[in-house]
Amino acid sequence: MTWWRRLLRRRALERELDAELRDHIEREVAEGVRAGESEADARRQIRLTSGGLDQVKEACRDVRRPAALADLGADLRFAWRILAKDRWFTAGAILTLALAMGVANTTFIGTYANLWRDLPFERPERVAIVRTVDGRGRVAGVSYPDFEDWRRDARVFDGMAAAFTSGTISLGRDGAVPEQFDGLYVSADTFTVLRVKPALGRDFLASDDRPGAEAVAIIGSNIWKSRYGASRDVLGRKVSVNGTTPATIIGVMPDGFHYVDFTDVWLPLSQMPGSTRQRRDVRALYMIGRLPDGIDLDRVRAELSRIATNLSVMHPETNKDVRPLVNSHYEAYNGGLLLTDSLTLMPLLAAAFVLLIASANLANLLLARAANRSREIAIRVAIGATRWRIVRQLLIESLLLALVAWVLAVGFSWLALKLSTSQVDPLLPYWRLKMDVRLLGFLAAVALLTTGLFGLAPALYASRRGTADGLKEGGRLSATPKTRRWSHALLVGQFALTLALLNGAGLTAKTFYKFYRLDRNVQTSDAVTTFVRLPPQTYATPEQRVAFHQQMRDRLLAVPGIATSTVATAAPFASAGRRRLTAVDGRPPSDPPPDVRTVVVDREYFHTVVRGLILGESFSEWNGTAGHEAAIVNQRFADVYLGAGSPIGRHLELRPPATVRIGVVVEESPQPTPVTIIGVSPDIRQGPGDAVPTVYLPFRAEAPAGVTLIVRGSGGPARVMSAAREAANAIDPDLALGVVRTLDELRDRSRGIPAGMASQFAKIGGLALVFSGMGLYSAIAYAVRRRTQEIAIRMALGATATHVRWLFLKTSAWVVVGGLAVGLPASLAVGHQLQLNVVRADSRDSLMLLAMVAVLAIVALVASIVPARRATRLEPATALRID
Amino acid sequence: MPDKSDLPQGTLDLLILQVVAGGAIHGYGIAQRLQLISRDVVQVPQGSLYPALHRLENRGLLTADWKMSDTGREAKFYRLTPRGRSELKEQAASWVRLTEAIGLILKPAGGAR
Repeated sequence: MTWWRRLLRRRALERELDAELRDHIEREVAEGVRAGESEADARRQIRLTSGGLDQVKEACRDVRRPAALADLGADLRFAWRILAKDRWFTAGAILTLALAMGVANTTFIGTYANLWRDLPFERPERVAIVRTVDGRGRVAGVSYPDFEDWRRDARVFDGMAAAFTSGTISLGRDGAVPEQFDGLYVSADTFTVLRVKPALGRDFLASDDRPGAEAVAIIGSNIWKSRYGASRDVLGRKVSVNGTTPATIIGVMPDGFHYVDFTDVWLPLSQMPGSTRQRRDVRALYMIGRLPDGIDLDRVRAELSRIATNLSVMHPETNKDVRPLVNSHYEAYNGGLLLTDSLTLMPLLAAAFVLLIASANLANLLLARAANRSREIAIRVAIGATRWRIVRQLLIESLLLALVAWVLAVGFSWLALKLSTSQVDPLLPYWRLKMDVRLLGFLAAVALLTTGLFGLAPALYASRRGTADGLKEGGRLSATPKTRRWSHALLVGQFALTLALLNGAGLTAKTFYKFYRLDRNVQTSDAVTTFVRLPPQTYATPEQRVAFHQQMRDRLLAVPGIATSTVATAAPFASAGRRRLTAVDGRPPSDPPPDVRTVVVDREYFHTVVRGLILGESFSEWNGTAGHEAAIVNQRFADVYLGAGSPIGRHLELRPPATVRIGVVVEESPQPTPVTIIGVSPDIRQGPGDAVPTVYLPFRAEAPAGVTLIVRGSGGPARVMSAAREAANAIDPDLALGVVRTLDELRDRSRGIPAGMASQFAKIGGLALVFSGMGLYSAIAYAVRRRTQEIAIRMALGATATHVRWLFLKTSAWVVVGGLAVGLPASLAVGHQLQLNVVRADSRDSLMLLAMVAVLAIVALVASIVPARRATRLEPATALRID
Repeated sequence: MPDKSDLPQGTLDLLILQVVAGGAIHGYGIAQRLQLISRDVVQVPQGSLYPALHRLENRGLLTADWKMSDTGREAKFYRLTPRGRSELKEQAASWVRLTEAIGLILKPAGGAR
């Protein structure tokens, strides 16, 4: 049956039912009249004995309905009409829920991606990373002989491999401009363990990874596309690696595969420069192993420890006290970060808070509305609705509400993801921002639970009461003390959470604002940066490297439009190296001596990149040569380590620390370098956070092989960089320049993630504030409506407007006081947590807290004074008549 | 008003079928007939009668036509369907069996009083 036929049929049935019942009544009336009653009496008698016509009709309809399902359509239509009629309530409820769910969803997706669990290979959680810890607790990698022993003896793995992160590798002499990429040296079975196959060509074979084997390379798909035009002919082509080894390209990895993080070139371990397969004390590799099902990390730890103990007995001179350190990829890359840096978890916590606030808000809205509807419900009961019908109707309304909100939330998060993916992609290749079905399900459950629970509880109450009660009280919009207590508790909770959130957001924002103010110390305009690594084979001595950069500079400055050119081991905003500060004026500054950041720069750096020195002067041509050891420190360094007195002329001793990165041991330099401070630089951030004590050393002193070239010139970054490339290749045709980034870009990137999190935090805080305000507003507005008659009586008896207003302000005052009582300790706790981990600001920033309390109080005042004023404007006579 | 629990569960349907078996009849007529035959013991209110009629019609035991009636208005006249007739026979028989059985059980108790 088509819908309109069904509709026509239903109408006909309704008509017939009505006619039939009326016929019955008419006959009864006629009978009564015949017996001598007046017609009016007869009708009255019938009404008294046979009950309402509508109830009979409803009972007949119930009989006709094939199943309850048939009503669903009617219920849905009715629910829709009710929701559409109460459009402010509906819009408020849906938006509140949708925004909160959207925020929770996107935040969770971001955090989840941040945990790096979604690596682009099969079951990443089953791949363990093995490193070592020595007797002094220092983390190092694995030596090749140890790797071979472990691989031979361990029975717990389903395949083991070893890798070395090499940093950049340059490719060239294949007809294209030399370029730099991140490289990883891997043992032949690495991709087998990861269970990834090349998209094109073949994997490494054991024979590729033997000393003396012909050099081969596997490239990433973006090199394949950008450098080789996605041609299948790439297999078998020769390319020079780091200017020397001509390697044959044997494979191309699939799209998006960059294991271990940004890697684009993979080479066999045997090609690693300075690779040694003999020495047990060179622990430069890290090891991976795939865990078969049923084997957990503890089993692996036990097994490897057993082998390590044997090794320490057999090789006491190298392996004494060396223990394996076994982690999952997740633990190795995020576990530590997650535990120490709750910045990653803060937004999630905040989102959970806001979801709670939104739920409380919705609950309050539903509570208020259900009380409002007790009359409607009473009427429906009176005309024959069963309790189940009523409950079902309200359930359907709640469902509809939750469903619409959920759909909106999915839309919001989809939009947000689209926006943020484009920002995050180049920063973190493994951040997979995508919808998570489990989470969407969870959010739907939260929405249903809130709407279901709070939409239904009062409805059950209302439908339980007698019809007459409902009708009598319904008109007065009564709320039971119980619902009111609930509603107030929810409001107090909201305000407490909001205060904690606002305080956290405020502290975070303030901190990052403080960090980013430092960026004014850098001249970023028109500056382009790239990484230059001079291969040790061609540029063996510092003199050769100094000469290269001298020539480079001369050539560049001869190009019209190029204004300045300078080099530094770390550009501003990029992560700087570390050295141990062993002495200040002959005494160690602390025990153990602290690490400070060091950046090696040439003498132009402070004129061209930094906006000048605060004190002293820049390096001279001679600084860095014997007898002219000099250093420039930043303001932060002077504050922390030099105390009172001029920094100029003070003496420092620096030594490279034992390890600079996981997996690679840098041999400790036996002699600390003594330097004299000749200047003080303003603070510059080297990384996402605050500026830290930093020492600048002259380029001449070491002439490192890898430096960042910073060139400033007109005509746009592309033109400046092509000038740099021409200059470099005029001196050395094999030399590859790294990725090109403007200083502005570097600055934005360094701000990217923390700033994004801070702004997300602030947005969530703002949302919470709006929700809390809305919650209080609707609660007060509802109370005013409920007590209209009481107000009218009070005013008629002479109560002043102030008195009436106070009646309601008292409620919100209690809510605010309650919120503060719970919220202040919560705020302090959140602030403390932030201070421990990220912010390094004063967690008891009482001014901030006070400001947030004030903001909250103002919002509460506005939210309650608006509806309270409405109460005082009531005309007593009118108000009394309001039903 | 008399509660429908005055009649044992399910008996109203049987009574209606029995009354309708006498010929096409409208709802009011059925109520009248029941009251008359039972000497005012069985009084069926609208709220029970019409749902029962509609239920029987829905189950296909009764069928109905709108016909001109004595009042000059059209009224809904119910008739038994063949299925209704056999249902009536079956239910009546089982009712008789049941009441006889109940009578047997109650007899000694009644004698003792």
